[in-house]
Amino acid sequence: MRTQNRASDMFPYLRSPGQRFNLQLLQEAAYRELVQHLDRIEGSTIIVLDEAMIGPFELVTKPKFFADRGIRLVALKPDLVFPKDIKNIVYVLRPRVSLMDQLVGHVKAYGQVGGRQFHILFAPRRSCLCVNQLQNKGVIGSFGRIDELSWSFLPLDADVVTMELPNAYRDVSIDGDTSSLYQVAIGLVQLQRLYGRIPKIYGKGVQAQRVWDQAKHLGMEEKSLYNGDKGAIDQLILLDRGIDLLSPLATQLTYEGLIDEFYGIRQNKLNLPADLFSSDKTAEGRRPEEHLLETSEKKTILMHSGEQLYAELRNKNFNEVTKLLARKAREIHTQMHATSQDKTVQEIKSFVENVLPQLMAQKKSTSEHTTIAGLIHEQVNNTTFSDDLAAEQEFMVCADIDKPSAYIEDKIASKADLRNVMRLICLQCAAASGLKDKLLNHYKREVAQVYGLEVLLTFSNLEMAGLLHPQTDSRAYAVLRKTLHLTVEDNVEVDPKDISYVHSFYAPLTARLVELSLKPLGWQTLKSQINNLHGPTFEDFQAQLIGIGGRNAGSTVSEGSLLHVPRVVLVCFVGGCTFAEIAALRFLADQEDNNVEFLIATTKIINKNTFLDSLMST
Amino acid sequence: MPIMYNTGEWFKVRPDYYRKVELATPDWPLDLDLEYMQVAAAPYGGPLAAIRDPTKLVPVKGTARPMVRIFDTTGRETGHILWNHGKLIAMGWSDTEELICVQENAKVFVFDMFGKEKELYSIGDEASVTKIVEAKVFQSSAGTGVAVMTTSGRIFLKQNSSKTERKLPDIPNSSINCSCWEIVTEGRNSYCLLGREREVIKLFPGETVGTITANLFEKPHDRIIKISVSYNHQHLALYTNTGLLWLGSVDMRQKYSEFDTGRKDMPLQMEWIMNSDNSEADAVVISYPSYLLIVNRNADRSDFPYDPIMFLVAEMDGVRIITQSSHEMIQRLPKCVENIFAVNSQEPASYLFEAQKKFEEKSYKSDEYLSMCRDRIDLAVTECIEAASFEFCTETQKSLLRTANFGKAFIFGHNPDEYMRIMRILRVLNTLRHERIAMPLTFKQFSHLNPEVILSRLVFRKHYAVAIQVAKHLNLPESWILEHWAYHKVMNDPNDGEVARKITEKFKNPTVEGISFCNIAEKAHQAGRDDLAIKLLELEPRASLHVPLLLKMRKFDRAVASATQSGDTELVTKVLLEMKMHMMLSNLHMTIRDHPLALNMYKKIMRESNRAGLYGIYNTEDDQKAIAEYHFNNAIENKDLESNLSVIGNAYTQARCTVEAELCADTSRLFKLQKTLSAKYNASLNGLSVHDTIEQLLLMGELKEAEKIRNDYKVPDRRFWWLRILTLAEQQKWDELEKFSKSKKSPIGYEPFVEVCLKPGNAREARKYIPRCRENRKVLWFTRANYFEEAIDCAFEQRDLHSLYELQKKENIVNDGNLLAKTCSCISLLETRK
Repeated sequence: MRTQNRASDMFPYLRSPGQRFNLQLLQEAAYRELVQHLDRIEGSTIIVLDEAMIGPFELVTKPKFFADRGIRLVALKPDLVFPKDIKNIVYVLRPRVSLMDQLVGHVKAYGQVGGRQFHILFAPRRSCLCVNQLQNKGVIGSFGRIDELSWSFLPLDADVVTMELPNAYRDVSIDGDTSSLYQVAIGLVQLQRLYGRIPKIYGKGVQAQRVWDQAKHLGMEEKSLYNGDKGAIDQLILLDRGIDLLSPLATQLTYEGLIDEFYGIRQNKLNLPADLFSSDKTAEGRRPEEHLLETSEKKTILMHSGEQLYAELRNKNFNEVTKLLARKAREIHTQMHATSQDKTVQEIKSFVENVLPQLMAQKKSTSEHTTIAGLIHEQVNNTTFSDDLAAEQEFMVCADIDKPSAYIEDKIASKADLRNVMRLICLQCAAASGLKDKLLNHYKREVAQVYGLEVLLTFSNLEMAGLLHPQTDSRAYAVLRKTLHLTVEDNVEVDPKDISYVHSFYAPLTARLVELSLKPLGWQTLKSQINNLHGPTFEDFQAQLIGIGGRNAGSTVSEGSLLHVPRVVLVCFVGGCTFAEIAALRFLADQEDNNVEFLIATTKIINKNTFLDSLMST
Repeated sequence: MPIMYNTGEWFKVRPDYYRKVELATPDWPLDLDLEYMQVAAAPYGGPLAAIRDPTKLVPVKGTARPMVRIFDTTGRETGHILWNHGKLIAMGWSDTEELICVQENAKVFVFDMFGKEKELYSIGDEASVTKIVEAKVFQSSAGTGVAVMTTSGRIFLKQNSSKTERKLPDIPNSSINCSCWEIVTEGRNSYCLLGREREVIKLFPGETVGTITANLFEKPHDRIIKISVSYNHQHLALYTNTGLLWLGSVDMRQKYSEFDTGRKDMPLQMEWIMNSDNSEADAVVISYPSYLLIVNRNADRSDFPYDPIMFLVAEMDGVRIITQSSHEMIQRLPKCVENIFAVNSQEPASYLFEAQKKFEEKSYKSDEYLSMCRDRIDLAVTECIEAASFEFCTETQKSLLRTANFGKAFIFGHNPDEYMRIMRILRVLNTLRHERIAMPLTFKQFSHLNPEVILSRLVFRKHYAVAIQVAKHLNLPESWILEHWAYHKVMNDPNDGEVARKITEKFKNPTVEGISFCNIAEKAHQAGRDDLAIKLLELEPRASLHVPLLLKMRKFDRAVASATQSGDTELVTKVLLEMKMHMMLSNLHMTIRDHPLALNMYKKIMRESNRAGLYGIYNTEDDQKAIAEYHFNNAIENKDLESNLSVIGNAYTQARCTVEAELCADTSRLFKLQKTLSAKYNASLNGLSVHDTIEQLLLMGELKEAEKIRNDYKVPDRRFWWLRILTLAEQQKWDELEKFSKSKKSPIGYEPFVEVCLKPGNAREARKYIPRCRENRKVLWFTRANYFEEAIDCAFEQRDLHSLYELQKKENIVNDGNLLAKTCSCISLLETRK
């Protein structure tokens, strides 16, 4: 029991005060599962982590957990060396057949030591293909336990859970491998197991519907879920990434979104070259204990809601951030120098003991963020950035949307970065709700003539992924832009009144759908408005199962009567979401009129670069 | 009216009361005469087996072949076994209600209570060769064991069917004249007690020789003829040919009493009566033909005339007596019952009982009785509840519980749990005692066996409905009972549709939890009824459960269908791997092609393991685009695009991907051209894109060749201009660039000119082109080229306040006093004009 308490105490940021759900529970559950598996293995142990599993591990464990148990962690590499006295080698892997060769190599090289055993924990599913492969190679006999670590959603922040599956959208749309959808369904059941039955479900999109069908089916096997009262979550909104491909392609203009696009935030951490930061860091500048594995000369900055200043800045439009930082610096300055005025020794003492350390910490984080903001500022002021942004925004307002874009043509002609060119073409396609055959062929010819014939394969991938497609009659985006006010004319970036600030004047469709569904009869009204979007619009109710626990039947009245308590809405993005979308939802939650708390679930946090990279790779 | 509350059946064996309780009267078949039978009865009101006693002369009826007949306690025949094996020596019942029959050649047959053979084993070769004369079935620590005595006087002992037999030590001196023996279990071991003449010999396994105890009796006798061990293996009773009875502890160190029965005839059976309220035993019951004798430790006796033939069954809390016409149980009267019903009882429970009776009669005396037990009323209530649990008569149960209920009202804060519990269990017991079920259990036996065992016994007897009701009543899981019922249906009902219908009907009830159609389907499959199995599997909602069974039955099409429907990709993969092992590839393709998910997963497996296989699928599917890309990917991997281009192009053409096909053809042509050009200009142009080829040519100054390619490949003007500008700028040919800009009106405007000049930082060149840019972009370009003065002017001309504000913030302007002043004045001018 005590170890468990400690386990969640290490992740204080997963619970924010006054929030109706507590993601520490999720962290504990995941951690407990891992410990249970490890407890079944006796003797000295070393854990070998698949690179793709390092992230998930960092979300729910700390190096200390393993140090306490005397377990070493190493990353999976073909040429690993295992010390002689290690009895158990536990691999924690994503189920990928390609990894098996490395395992086979290890077994052949180090399996001869007496009493040594190899084990595998597949996350999230035990893969029979992989096991099959080990069988074919004749090494299965060296493996003791082959289990699964059924981690689906893992807590990223106090209001975000993620599956850390960067290729979820690609796998489904291009390869037709729907494993991730099934995993989301399992994840939704797991969440309900922890937080109780979700009574209302809304959703949009083909894959969203699929996920819900499967989750419902899986849930039916757990009757206990439906016997109790409703849980902490009041509503689920399932959104298929496929209904809104414009938002993930657009440049995010929030602080967090920009950092992610330029430098990449991994599991709440940002790694930047250490020499960018001023040198006051001597002792505690780096926090090596935050890393499960080594790091080189990098400075790691924590990026989650537990960091006070960052929590304040992350969701703001970048134009507001510089101002906020300046103000912050002034505040700290005045507070620091307040001491020099006449004060008693007692007062100074209490200042030094209580206030000063806090101030120093604030000063440190302010300086860190000033540095980061400075870096971003440079990037943003780059001419290509602003030209790209301008072109992007032209598309968003549907200007000259059906003609070949001169900007794109110029980009191609000057052989600019292919990913960015493809992104702009996809953006145009999304905004125009498809490209005319002639136009698409024109782009294909242009791009192929400049970048080589191989880009045809890239085009093919993007076509399969639905990012490029022939024009439909409905013109969904153009219509919705008007009806749902996706672009706002009198935009304000500082102290905004509308979610559109996250892209300067464009409100992500997904976030707008959630916003509108919050209104009374919102979903009913929306239903007719969004039927031009591809995929079904659905809703469902999970009533309490009457018959067994007859006693509880009376208590459902409470659902309606507690109006002043904020609703908890689980917004689940099937195929990933961006920081801008999260920022928009957080903005909505901050508006008191809405009286709502969001729990955001996603397969992975994506941005325009990572999204396209996953789709363009072969 | 019978004497009140069956107290007439009480009798005293000083100092205790005993009683006979009448159980359901058995109704034996007409052709069964117990007098000529050997009978073995199972404890806990279990079944009994009878076979003709070969030592008795019988009027022959029917076949002469011996037959073992099995009955329940009410005399209904549940099964029979035609005995066509060797000579049957002994029968007995195991603790799981199996009939154990021991044959002369030391073979042991095990049957269930319906006469179905379940198991066959042997007690070793030695016993088998020497033949056995006697056998005993006994309860060991490891289950039900069998002990045999061979013709040579050796005793072998097997603790259960799976353990190896043990040979007990030699009998000291001689093995003849042994008159009786019994098996005693002590802790983990079982040993034998043997009566020979006046001695008792203890044969303990592992010891080399038996130990002899003699001189137990004081009075004269010739030999011990009967040994009896109590149910709990703690007490021993010995009986001599002179009618002497010795009672003592099983280790023979303690002697309770010696008693002269005064009878000279042979006793039939002798059993200890276990007490019902503790696990002690005070008395033995001895049966003689037509006579029953009860003797206790204090050497007091009580006797009854009885039927000519009777069988005693020792229970954990009494002894049952089965005769031709009755079925009774003798037990020591529980203290609580005595307290209530004894004449002149002064116990509070007795007063409470009276008080309740008077209360019902609306008599004022109720209060008087109540006041007599008021101070100990909680004890009274507890005793009434306890007493009810010991009663067999439902009327007595009712009045006792009514009394308890009445008494409860006078106790503040009484906890009714025990009352409720007893009432629940009594209802179950009464049901079990009903002649339809015929399991006369006492409360103690019920608690000892525990309800789960009782339920499984009911299920085994196929009393499914009662079992379910009992389970419901006791809040125990009931779905497994239904499952057994379903097994039974599967095994015995030949109509597939009917069975499936009946089973679903019962299973769809939402209160049935955790029931699996798969287990039943599996049974059906084992019984060779695959059609039924499939019908049942269709009802199982969890694909992860029914798919493996479908695979086992080789119903691949169904397995694929339901695996894909579940969405569980891992399950789909499992099915595909299985199919790959058992099916022809072409059949496999045909089976999965209607299931997109299966097809996709199969492609994914092939992509990782067998690329050629992938091609096969694309071919079957006639997916030409995929074929094109397949070749394309292969070509890239092998770094040999050129020779594959025609194949790729063809596939694209067939897939109606016109642009792709065209581009392939273009590239193919280009490759050829590049070869000649490379040779001609001694440069390496091979493999470059159209764009790059032109660029290279331009850099080499081969404008004509470049123009030619441009025309051949329909490179748009825009891009060609870009190329020209870029190459010129790269080569820093600023003059030529300027010339070029004036050669024709630029199709891409003049901003690119500015841009290429600014890239290497040549603002001066850039300056030349800015005036020719679009009006609204001029300010921007001036700014980017750091011509702030011009930028400000230009913005002012265009009355572009917004740009001016932006300019005002620029670092360079802020730092330059003049510019800042100019900007500010422009802004203020424009602002006033507004």
